[in-house]
Amino acid sequence: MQNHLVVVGILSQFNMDKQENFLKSLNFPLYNISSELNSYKFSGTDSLSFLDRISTNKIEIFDPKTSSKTILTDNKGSIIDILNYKVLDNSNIIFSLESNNPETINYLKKLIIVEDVEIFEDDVIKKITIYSRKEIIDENNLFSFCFYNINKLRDIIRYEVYFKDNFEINNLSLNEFQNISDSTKELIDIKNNLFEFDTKLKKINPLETGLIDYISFNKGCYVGQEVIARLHNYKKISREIIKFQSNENLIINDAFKSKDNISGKILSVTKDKTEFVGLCLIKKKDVGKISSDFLLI
Amino acid sequence: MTSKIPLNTIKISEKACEKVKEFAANESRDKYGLKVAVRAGGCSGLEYILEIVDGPDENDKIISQNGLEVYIPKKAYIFLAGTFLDYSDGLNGKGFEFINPNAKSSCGCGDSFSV
Repeated sequence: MQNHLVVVGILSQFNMDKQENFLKSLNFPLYNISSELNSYKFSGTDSLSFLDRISTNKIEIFDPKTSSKTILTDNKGSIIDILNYKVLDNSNIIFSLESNNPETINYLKKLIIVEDVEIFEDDVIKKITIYSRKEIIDENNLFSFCFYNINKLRDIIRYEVYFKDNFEINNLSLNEFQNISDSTKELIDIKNNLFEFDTKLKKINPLETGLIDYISFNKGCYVGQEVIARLHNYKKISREIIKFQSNENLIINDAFKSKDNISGKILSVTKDKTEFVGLCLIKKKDVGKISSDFLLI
Repeated sequence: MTSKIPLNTIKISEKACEKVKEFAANESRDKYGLKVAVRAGGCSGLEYILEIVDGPDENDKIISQNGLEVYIPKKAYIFLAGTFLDYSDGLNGKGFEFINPNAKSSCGCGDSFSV
């Protein structure tokens, strides 16, 4: 693990108004279109069974066909990557990797030993992230896209829609929405304690990073299940996501330690004007030591 | 027992062989063998597969033990070389049990392992 120790200071107060004003200044609905991503296909009679045995979500043919996320974990329950997927039929699943890192494909290929499963590279796709104050897209309009996820947050709805590069996206009425930059998108996600998984992140588990909705607790064994089930059942999740702000550009997966001896790990970081903001994981027992929801580094 | 098993084979105890023959007889099979393989899954990463089959596949390694033919896919063999397969019966018995020298760790129930 490539960690270096960063000394951080925790300021007693954080300007919450600044965050609120940032959201108020935006003219919802908003959208952002990602750069190109790879998509892939599992093909073969064992495809569903294979993905079911190596990831957290229950992989089955949906009715109606829809999509979801599933998390690849190692035998210690740590996240390897997150897949957006759609089951097409008994033998085919299309998917993309949240990290877009081809190393994960190599990992998956190594897991195929005796089964009838092959992994093919599919079309290039892009992701539209839409933020709205209210429901603006009928879910029935999303089935034709590669994958989608709808995340209903406290005061915002976040739509994630993946589409093939040449696919017509006019039915999303994007011309009525405000286009936002990547950094604005990241700021909104940070405000909502959301981050996109990066394979630089090591030794984090899905329960401490808010991914419980993508874990099936009754589907039986998968790689990492024993650890994840124990953490969940005995309520042993020891870390929590906290926002931070810093003058220093921190690096994902870096460990830090504050002057008050609060240690943690950087999950995400983005630049906000002259400062850097992001999310980090700290021990739950340390959360109460912070006088606001934010660590100022 | 496992330390005596050479890495170019796997061993199956007499009791395990008898149990396989019993299962095959219950299925009224005349010609059969035991397929032993490994696939991704289980809590630890790799899980064992046992299956009574009619005959070997093209890429199977064939081993004869106590009058039983055992078929091991060549891709799975690297994970199974030197393994001892036993059977423990009784109310508290574990059933078929793999003692695999390649396994660095295994899950609580012993059905899966990592290398």
